[in-house]
Amino acid sequence: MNEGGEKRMEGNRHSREDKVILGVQVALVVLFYLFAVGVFVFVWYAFYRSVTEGDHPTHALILATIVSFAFTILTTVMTMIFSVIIKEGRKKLPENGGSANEIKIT
Amino acid sequence: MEVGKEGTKDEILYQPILKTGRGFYILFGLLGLVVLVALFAYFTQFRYGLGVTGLNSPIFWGVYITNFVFFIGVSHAGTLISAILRISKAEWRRSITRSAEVITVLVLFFGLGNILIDLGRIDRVFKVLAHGRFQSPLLWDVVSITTYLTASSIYLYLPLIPDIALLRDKVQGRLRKRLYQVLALGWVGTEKQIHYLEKSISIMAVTVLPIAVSVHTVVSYVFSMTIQPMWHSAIFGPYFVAGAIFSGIAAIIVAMAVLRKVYHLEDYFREVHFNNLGILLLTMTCLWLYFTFCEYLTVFYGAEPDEIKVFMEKLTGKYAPHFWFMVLTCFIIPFVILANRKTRTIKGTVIASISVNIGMWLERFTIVVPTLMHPRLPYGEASYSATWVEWVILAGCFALFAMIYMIFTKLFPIVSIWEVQEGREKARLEVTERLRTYLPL
Repeated sequence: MNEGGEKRMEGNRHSREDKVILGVQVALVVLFYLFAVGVFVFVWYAFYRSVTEGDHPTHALILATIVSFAFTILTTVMTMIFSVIIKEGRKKLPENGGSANEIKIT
Repeated sequence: MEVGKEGTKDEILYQPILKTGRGFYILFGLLGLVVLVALFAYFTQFRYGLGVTGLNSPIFWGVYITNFVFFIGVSHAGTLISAILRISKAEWRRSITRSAEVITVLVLFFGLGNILIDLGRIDRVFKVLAHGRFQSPLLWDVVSITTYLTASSIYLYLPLIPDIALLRDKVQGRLRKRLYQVLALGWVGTEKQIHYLEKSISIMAVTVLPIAVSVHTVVSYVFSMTIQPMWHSAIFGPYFVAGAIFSGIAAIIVAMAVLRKVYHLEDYFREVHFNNLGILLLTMTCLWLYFTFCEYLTVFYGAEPDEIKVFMEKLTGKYAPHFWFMVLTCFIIPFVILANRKTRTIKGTVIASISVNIGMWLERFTIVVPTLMHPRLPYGEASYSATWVEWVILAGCFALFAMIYMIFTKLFPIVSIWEVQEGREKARLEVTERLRTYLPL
């Protein structure tokens, strides 16, 4: 095989690996979202039960609101970090001529 | 910035990840044995029930709940202290925050784990999820610890990203490289990435503070929201938070001393770090004494019969050795060592910290058990002695914690490399600016 063909194959392999890595990163965010949804469901289901059973719903409402607020902040931070860093990183993939790490240690 | 030169300086921080000595495997194996024995103890308890422990009626809580409160307290080591130092822009924090943040995330699992062990039948946890009522402080604990664990994990991960990217570029092994490639999220250190990372770390530092304070306050509510003697106290919230920060600082100091010795990080964990943390520990020692004094004096002056029974049990009764040993280890030893500049050395600070950790475990124990010995309900005479199962599980918790901490140091830098480099650069710029603006050249 000529040199150009080898380079193309190498490029294809890199691109495949890159997609797999991106897939795992997206899966990590999705897992976090699922966990956050689980927490929201848990606290609001507890509120729903307290309403239907007439079991001091104000307690449950206050706590569900506080926990939801905290998890909204956490979810926002995770979304921001994952989306910005991944997007920026993909713009500067080493194969595309970008630096592998601008603060690289030699 | 002289990138290459900076890199060579910090080369030692990669050594634990790139090389593993025989000592590591030997220690890991020994700790593994302790964990195996603890697993055997747990399965014994699982098979024969909580009857194999010293727990009885009315002393339903013992070593496991003490461990829970202790571990949740130690968890304030990292996130809370690291967040305070980050927000207050304490420059000396840079090399110590990572080791502290790891403690937080790990011990939270052990805190939760002890609750599961205490349940006896682990399937009972689903009852909390399906039928939990928000009137119960136990459920407040469930949600606040879950929130804290999530926030602490994110707070640990964010400053790790640039270091993981450095490892991604350095490490050769295929599996490790893939792991770092995934976790680095494609970090290349662009201006936009740095801006967003710093913004996120700042948001998390501010968010994690109220969450951390709420966690230990809520842990105290498990006790103080009942009308049990010597539990139903309004100062329990701040008392527990102060105690948590106290044991947290002590845990950081011990961890730093071990890492310094084992990985030769003398340049990163310096005398100044131990001195500054020692002063913080001294402050917390005094604060702990103040809270303890207020709590006990109020009970003594009130002289309410049920409360006095518990009070006397602690001061002169069956739990007097525990109580006075706690006073010795939580106040007398650390105060004597840390108040004197000559003894506030690295060795002195470490001795004081070990003493504080022992004392704080005893403090949790003397809060939990003596009250249950004398509840307001008409139970007969009761006493509690922990069995081998409980002691072995306690040892297993510490061993497993050490093992996971060791694994972490083998996967990620235990000192934040990029933050140390940033600190150096910042210090140089500050000096240059000072010379330029107000000092004669």
